[in-house]
Amino acid sequence: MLMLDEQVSPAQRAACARWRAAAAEHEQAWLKAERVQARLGLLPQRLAMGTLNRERRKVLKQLLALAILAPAGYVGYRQVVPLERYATAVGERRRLTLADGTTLDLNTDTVVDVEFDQSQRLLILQRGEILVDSGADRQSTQHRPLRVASAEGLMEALGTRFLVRQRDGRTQLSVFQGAVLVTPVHGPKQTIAAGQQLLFAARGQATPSPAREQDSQWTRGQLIVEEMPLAEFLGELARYRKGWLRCQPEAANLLISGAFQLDNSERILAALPATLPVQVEYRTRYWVTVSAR
Amino acid sequence: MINDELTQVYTEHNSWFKQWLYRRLGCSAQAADLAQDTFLRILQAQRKAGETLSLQRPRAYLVTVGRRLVYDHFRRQSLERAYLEMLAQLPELFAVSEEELLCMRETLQQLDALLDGLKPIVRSVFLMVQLEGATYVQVAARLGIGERTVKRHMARALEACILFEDDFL
Repeated sequence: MLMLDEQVSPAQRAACARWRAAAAEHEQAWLKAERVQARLGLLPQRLAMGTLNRERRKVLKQLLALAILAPAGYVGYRQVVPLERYATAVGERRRLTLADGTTLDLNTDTVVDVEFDQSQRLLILQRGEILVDSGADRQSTQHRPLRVASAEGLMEALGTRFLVRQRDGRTQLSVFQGAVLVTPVHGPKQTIAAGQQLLFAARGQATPSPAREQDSQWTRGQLIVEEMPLAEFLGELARYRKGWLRCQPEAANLLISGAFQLDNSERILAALPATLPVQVEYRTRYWVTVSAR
Repeated sequence: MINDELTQVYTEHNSWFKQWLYRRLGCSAQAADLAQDTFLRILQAQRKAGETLSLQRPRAYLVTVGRRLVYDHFRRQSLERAYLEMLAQLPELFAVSEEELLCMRETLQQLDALLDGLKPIVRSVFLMVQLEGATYVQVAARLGIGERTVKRHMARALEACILFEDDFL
């Protein structure tokens, strides 16, 4: 192992040669170590350093977070509260009907926990986006409110169809029918009526704006946009694809309109140069850059 | 040759095990994949040992193997993220062909598994010496540790290389 250091004396080299020759296992061990070295040599230095020497504790944190969701007493707990988890992969969409008759649409890359008990019907949006069409809950003898929890607050349905999307540090709520009572984690309550949407953080009061029915069209596999900046459009599209989809700054503010089929994002990308002055470059299948032409 | 005992374990515990994995991964397709992998590993381990292992406590055994696979899964994911971030930051890689990138990615996965069991400081020492060609004296100065400690860390890392069991070495 000293051989890896440049400052090795001839005597040390000779000693090493003797050690390697002393037994077959010695030579084998040496060769194995050399092969690792050769493998490392194939990689660009900065790439290897930046990836192999990354902070790994995050991996453990992620594991711990998941372990908490499934505590030791899980089986016993489950008999009281039937906790169910539904998830979709990137690019996948799913429609479910829950026990109370509620229809739940899950958009791409979404995780939602369903916890129904005697006092409430709770949906916990862990990530992603859902469209809720609340059911009548006929089998229950008492009124159980339907609530959706996001990282930023709680939303209670007042007989309704609405969309909840977990964004970075904010929750988007769009109400299409009925109304929803919003309670941010540290903020005042607010009722959002049909046709309105609210983008709220955990703190402070947000102002509602008009809801866009197009925002729910992913349930039909469509992305509908009107005059949307290209960077934002690609950000939306990236949710349905694995890997990276980058937009160069010069192309970011080009405006795009249209109805796009989400199941074929490759085709959407391929068609971009026909409508906008851009080029689409594939570095790898999972790494795509769109730049101005 | 049909392995009766493993078949029985599979029939009795597979759906329970998939549930177990699902709660950790939050994705049913991944859970099914890893469940399959787990049984495959057990089968391979048995082949290698040339006998059928008696699974006294099958669930405990599945959980042990499963935990490792779940951890590997998250490790691969975190490597993948780091890889994509680095790619975007390194203009010199723009010219690299797709085949080469694929090869690099595989190499990274293998080396990442090898280095995973090491302490962060040992890994840093090893990579500084191997990748940057730093001498032990330089490494010692940069990390603020003694040269003797650098040697000890290098020895530990090389031991891991030698003991690492994988087909690629």
